[in-house]
Amino acid sequence: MDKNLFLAVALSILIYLGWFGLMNRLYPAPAAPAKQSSAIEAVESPASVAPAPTPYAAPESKSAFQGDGLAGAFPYTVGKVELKVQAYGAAIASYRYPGPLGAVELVSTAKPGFFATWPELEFKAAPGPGLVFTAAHPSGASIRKEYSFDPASNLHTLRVEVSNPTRKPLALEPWTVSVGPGLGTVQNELKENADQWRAGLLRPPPQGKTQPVLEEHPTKEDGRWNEQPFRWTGVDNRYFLAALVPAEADFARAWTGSESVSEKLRAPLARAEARALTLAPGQARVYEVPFYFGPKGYTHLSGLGLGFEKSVQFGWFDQIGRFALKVLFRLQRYTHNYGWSIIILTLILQVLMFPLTYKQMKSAAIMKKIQPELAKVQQKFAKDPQRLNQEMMELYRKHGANPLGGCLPILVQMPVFVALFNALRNAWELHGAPWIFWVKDLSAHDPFYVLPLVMGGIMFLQSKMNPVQMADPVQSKMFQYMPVIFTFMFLNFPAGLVLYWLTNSVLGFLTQLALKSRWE
Amino acid sequence: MLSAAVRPALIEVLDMLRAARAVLFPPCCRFVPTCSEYAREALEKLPLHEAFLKTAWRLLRCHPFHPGGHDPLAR
Repeated sequence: MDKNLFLAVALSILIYLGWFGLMNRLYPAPAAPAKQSSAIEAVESPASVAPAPTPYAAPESKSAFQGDGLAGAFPYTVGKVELKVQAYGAAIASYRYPGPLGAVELVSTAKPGFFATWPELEFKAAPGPGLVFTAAHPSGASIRKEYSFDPASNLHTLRVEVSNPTRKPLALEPWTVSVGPGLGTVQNELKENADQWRAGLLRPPPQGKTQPVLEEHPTKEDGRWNEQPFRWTGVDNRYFLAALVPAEADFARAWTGSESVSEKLRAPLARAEARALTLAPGQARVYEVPFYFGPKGYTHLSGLGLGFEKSVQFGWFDQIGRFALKVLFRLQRYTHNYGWSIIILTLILQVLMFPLTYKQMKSAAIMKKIQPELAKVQQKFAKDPQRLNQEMMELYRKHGANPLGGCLPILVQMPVFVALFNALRNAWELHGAPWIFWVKDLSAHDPFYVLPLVMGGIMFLQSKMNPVQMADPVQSKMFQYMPVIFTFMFLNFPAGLVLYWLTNSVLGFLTQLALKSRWE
Repeated sequence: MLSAAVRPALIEVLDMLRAARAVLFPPCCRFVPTCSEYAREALEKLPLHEAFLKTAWRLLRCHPFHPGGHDPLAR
């Protein structure tokens, strides 16, 4: 280890930070896909003019869609959700979900709107209670589309009834329900949303497995038809999910992919396609399609039992992350505060690690006693660092005092840290979850950087209290800078994660103080 | 042979991990040579499966209940 390595690392960090800063400045992420300003095409086309029988538009072409988002959409309020349904395709053109930090618009592009069916057809709102829309299909069929909302679970139902009022049998070509394009999210996520959103579907467990498998498709791709059975299909991002759960008997296949919503932006889109249908005169067919439209709360989704929780992904060490989150939920039931739950979780982890900590601190205490001997060795081999290291190690071993904790404890801690990082970063439950005073959102960085700075301070104190003896001066210098490096790293981390690390440091510090006074 | 292609790649990955660890954590190894030096030497000199086993065994011993000390790669 020499000075060059230290320089190289420091420079790498600077370049890394500088690069992303620069890139963010040069290429700002596309802002929330803006709603199309209210062009008036949809409103002006008078409904009375009988449209020439529109040939059924293949799902790949969106040219058939004539609606224009919010213009002329019907507003509704269901529970605390405010939504708008537009006439073309009777699709949801706006869905304002009440998040803990304010309403969140989940429809990022109103063309053709969420859960659109026959987007080329203009539906009329039926009089009476409920969200019922009707349209006449050019083939002669009548279509009735009804949304029923359950704001408590966000698991809603779409009911589509196709009937044949004519005297001839009617053949209806396959039609689709679409989800997307895109999906809105909370304010501080908008920047990253375009990297997060995906169209996907849940496959039943493969042969010999018990868990269904989530398949997500890159938003760069045009899309594909998935002919195999699926449990649900939809679009998700970090915090939200919009998904259809069509019955296999009614819906044969799903299309997942993306389409351009602006010059630079592609947004994910999913469709479920109903099977072709022949209706006898007077016959009607009803499709019930449950759909989820809301946040990805892990326990809530698990409770629905439809496999939606598979859309919550924690990346590396996924299993540990899921487990940690479950423990946090459980703790939260008693504390009613995720901040305190994180602190308790850390405490539990520290208690489990205590035997290791104890042992290590005891070594540190013995170290103090053999200091004179150590100094002698250091003088003797000052010119041969490799030999010096060897001799120091030998001395430690003789007295049963090795000041270094070993690689294994760190190796064990790393997955826990990564898993917690991912869980805290991706858990909807932590969004807008406060701790105390100024920490109002554990999933965002500390607005006043108090937590990371305090953490840096404590790490600094700790390193002053037990300076690690190192033969290599560069190495020991680098160790001195650790608190600084850590502080910088943690500045923009989610407050919940910094809280975890801070609690860890404080507990370590306190244990050290307590044990120290006992041994001295 | 396959290992001829895999070996340099593994050494590359190991070096990256070593650099990352150096930044993220204080020195921690109870042995001389350190676990990562040991692993690198094993990767260079031993058949792959042996290098893996030796490194794993070394890592498993590197905890506060083992005295640590001088432990070079056995030839």
